[in-house]
Amino acid sequence: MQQSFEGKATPMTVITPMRPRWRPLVWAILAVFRHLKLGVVKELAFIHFARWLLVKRGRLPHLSPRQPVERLDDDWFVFTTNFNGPWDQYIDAFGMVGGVRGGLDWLWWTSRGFPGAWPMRPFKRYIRYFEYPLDLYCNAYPGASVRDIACALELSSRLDAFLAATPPDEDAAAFARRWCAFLDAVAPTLGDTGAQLQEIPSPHSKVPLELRS
Amino acid sequence: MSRVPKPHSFLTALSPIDRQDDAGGARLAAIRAALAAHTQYGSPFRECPTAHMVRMQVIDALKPAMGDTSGVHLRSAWLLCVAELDGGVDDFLDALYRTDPDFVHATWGQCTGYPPYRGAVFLRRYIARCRMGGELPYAAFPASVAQVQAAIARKECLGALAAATQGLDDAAAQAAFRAARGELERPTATRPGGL
Repeated sequence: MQQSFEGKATPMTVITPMRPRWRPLVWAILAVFRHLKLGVVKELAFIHFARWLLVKRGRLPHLSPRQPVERLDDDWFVFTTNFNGPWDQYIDAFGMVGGVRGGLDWLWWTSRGFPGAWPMRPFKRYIRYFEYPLDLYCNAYPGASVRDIACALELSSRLDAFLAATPPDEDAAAFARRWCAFLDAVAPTLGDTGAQLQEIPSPHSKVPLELRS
Repeated sequence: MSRVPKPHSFLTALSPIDRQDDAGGARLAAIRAALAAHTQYGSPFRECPTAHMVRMQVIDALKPAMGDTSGVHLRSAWLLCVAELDGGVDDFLDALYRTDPDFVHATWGQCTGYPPYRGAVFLRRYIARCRMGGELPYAAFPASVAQVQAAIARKECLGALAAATQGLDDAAAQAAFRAARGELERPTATRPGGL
């Protein structure tokens, strides 16, 4: 049973099987992606951290002579992410934003049975099927989304500038003019942080019928 | 790795858990119990100042490809630890061990190959053996945990001050600003997980 976690970030771990013959291609794809800026993902601003990792079937840690050797047919392609918002919206963004969809098609193309990031239903079924439940999750700032953090960091540097430009003996009227102008300028970054997200039931259920217990 | 800001490091560790141990699988049950005993807000990771996000999960059955009926199964269960950190992994492990050595021994200490000794150095060496490399990482922002928490605290403080000074005359607004200036410059440190 998946433990539920509070806060604006939701963790997800997806492990898909991948035929070992695709390793060279996967290494090449990962190498190319390491040099891309992923501007679309940054603009969407809903992922705190993510990673893709190829675990070779014969390279799982073997730490004791008593440990049985795993005999697997497939490598593991591991995807972990911490995202903002409900699961459905996250997967929708994957499938419906062209730039993201194209990237995911490349990354998961070598995973067995991957239906493509579009259309949504088979894609969601695939992700849900290969998702693994978490036992423990900790987030240093559960009340903050990626946008909250980006706003706070931007505000922080502007606040530093304002504080540096405010002498201790400034005239009250002059201070009030600058203070109002400053608040006007930073108002878009002053939204509340810490509100807990309420998951809204989606008409297209996030757990497909055939996977419900 | 142009997408990953410098201060961040990523830990992915897979540690085997013996299913056929002398106690008939009790180690796996003990690890599950140790993980279940900690809530999101009561986990020792909250005391690790360099940890952005940490997850632990037991993988005891691998899902086959859809339609695959070959029956391939895992001979060991695996404890997966995924962490996004500031600075080095060893600093995080040291902090974790210092915070709650019993948690370490109740989880990784039950895994195959963990040495029967106490000390952070053994945790570091064990995780080094379990660590998986070669990942493609992504991080949304280039700030440390402390920077993020300070920035959020300043934002909250400024928001409260803006609301409090609304409608005040110039002198009263300036006095309120002066009273809050110290907190705006150096916000009170917040415990990880507190915001």
